[in-house]
Amino acid sequence: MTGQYAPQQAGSDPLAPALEARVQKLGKELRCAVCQGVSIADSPASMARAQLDMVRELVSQGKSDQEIIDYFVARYGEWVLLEPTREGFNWLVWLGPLLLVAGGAFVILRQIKQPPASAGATPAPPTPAPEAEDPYLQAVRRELE
Amino acid sequence: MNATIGYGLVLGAVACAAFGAVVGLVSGLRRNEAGSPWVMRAVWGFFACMAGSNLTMVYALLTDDFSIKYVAQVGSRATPTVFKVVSLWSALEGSILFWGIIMASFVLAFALAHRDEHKRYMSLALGTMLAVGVFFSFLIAGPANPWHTLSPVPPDGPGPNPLLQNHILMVIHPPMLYLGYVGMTVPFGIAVAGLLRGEIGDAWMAPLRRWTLLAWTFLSVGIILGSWWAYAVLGWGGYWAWDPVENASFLPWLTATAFMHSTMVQERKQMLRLWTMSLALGSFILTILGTFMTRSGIFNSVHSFTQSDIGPTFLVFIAILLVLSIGLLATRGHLLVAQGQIHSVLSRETSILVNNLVFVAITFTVLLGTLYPLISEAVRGVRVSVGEPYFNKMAVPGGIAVLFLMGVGPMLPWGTPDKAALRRQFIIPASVGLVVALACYVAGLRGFYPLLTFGLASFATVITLRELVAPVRVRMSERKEGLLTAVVQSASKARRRFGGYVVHLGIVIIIVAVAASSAYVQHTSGTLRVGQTLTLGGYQLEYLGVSEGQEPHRTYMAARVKVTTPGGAVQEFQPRLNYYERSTDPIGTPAVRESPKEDLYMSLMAFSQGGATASLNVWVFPLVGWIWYSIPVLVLGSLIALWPSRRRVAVGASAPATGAAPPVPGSDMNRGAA
Repeated sequence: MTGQYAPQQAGSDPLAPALEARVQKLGKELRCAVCQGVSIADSPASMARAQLDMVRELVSQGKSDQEIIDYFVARYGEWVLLEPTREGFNWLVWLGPLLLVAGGAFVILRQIKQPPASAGATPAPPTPAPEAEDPYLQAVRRELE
Repeated sequence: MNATIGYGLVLGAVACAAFGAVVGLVSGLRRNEAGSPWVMRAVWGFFACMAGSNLTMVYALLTDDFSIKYVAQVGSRATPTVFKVVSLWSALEGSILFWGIIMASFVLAFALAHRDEHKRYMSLALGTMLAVGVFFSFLIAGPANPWHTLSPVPPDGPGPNPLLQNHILMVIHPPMLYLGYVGMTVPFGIAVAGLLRGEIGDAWMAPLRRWTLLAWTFLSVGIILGSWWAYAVLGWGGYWAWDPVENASFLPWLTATAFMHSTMVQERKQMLRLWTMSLALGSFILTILGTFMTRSGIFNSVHSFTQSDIGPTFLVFIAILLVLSIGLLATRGHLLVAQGQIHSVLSRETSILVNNLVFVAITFTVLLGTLYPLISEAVRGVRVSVGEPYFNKMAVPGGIAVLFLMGVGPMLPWGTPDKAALRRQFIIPASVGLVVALACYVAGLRGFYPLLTFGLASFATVITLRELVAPVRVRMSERKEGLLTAVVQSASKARRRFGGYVVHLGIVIIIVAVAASSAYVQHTSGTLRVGQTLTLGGYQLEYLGVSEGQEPHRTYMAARVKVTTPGGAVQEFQPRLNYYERSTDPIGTPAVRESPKEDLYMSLMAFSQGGATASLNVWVFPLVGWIWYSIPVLVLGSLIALWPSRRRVAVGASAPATGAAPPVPGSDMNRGAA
């Protein structure tokens, strides 16, 4: 009965820990060609396992991370990188959020207006309690009002 | 027969929704309340038709009526009963039909909950919600019609997508998510009604907050259950892949969270009103955008089983919504002018503004990252991917900022702070945070971000607990109340405050669990012969051989793995590969040894003929389970905040005290609350 199922192909064996860590790290950055947005390190698909074996082979040949990435980009295009490169138009996706934060922070700072100096004479610390109470409890109390 | 009834009911729903929308909006805009009984009838009619159509579909699924195309697509005689019901939302057409009944239920619940109040707004609000109902019932009647018939009638169907019948969580996760998505229709209707009416009183803000919180709660639970499902079923050892569809559910969650904070500033300081309204409208638009992203198939995603060509209809709807919302905000902007001012950087107001900036920045980042592949292809003609590495990099600072604000925000008073008092309050939580971070370092944990996260999490937890305990202490000392009474009383007198802080604790738990499980994960993989062992993180895994089995809808191969825990306990686990009749690739079911401290996660990748060897992928994830264990905390906090204020929470013992006792701070808390 077991024969009814195609036995699944196992991947190649892990390398020495230091090298294998590189394999896994690179695997996380490369997109599985047949899956849906999953990296080749994460995907259970046989295609992804073959790709990860390729990474393992290149690592064991002594290729650098950049060479391995270039190898994959040459084969599958920029699409294979799960993280857009930091160049050209792609800066949009990296800097866009930073610009938003900077702009937002500017707007918030402009919202804060020091009270006019004339009011400074009566700084009005909100309702000083008659008895010397823990100021923290006062704050809690104010909050509940 | 079923098809005729079901489709007829859909047409009935279109008619009821259209009628109610027109009557509600027209009479509401004329400030005429004569139409409201008719709007109410339309709401009932819409609900009855949607319920009828859904029940008919469930009946057709249960009775294997393969003359209906949808049943023939997703049903099969062999499917277990519970998954036959689940098939209702396992493919596009059915899920939109299911969406319809949820929407109808929400509109009806809203109409009944507020039937005697807010007369000025109700027709407009219900009219707006029914207008959204027109769109969805039109979708069901046209582009996503589940009631097409087949002839000749096929003898059997393929059954639902194997991924969906792999785990019981699939029964709860989509309905929760839909409840969250569809629930945003109600706040949208409320906000639009206020804008159309041209007055947004504080009283009308209360339902807006409550219904947003309700939808937010469902959305939170739905998202967490979804991640749990991915973890328990997909077998790649993760729970969140920044898949476009996951992102789609995250976006409205983020804006709704921002809304619930900015609404506090609006209430206290009469500021941020335009902004708060924009967040309310934006959350709804993002749910529609999310549905579009899920359903249109323009994205590569785990969820693309639901793709179809309903995209254009959605795009038109999104365009209408955007134009309408921006138009409304622009023409009513004068009503939303800020009256208050912010005087200090160190104030609650400022912390909430920063909170909103952080949440909007995260929303923008997730949206940009999700859409960027489309943008790049359109602008440069180059296909690119934006995946996990990008989102993780961007999300970490965001999560840290959220943690920091959860600590600092509640500590800062409204208005202008007394700096010396602030400093005194800051000392204890800050030192606890430092001590925890140091203790983690001494215990051997490394990494800047995780240690920062643990430190800030302790900082925020101490402050949150202090905020929860302080009113209880005041009550106990001033009113001589017992502990239990004081807890119940302070929770029920200031529900939103109390509930909000409980939710904060839940979020802290999630962030810590995410940080710990991703920073300190251990992973190994290997091919084992029978009798060989693999060790990871103190666990010993011995491969005992394969076993195979048969279930009604699938057969499976399981690797029997004997696990010896670091504590010496021995237990057998069986990660499996499932084979479905009509699916060529097997689908794995990982085996997980759960514990509060860490999960041991095993997934079977491959085995050789006869099971002489098996390839296993093994992970140890510290604390990961706390992501889902946080659900009760989140739900509890939300329930406390949502609990209606008119009906008093049963307190019992405190009742006799009300006569003589001095006025208690916060007794008036429910004014405009919740």
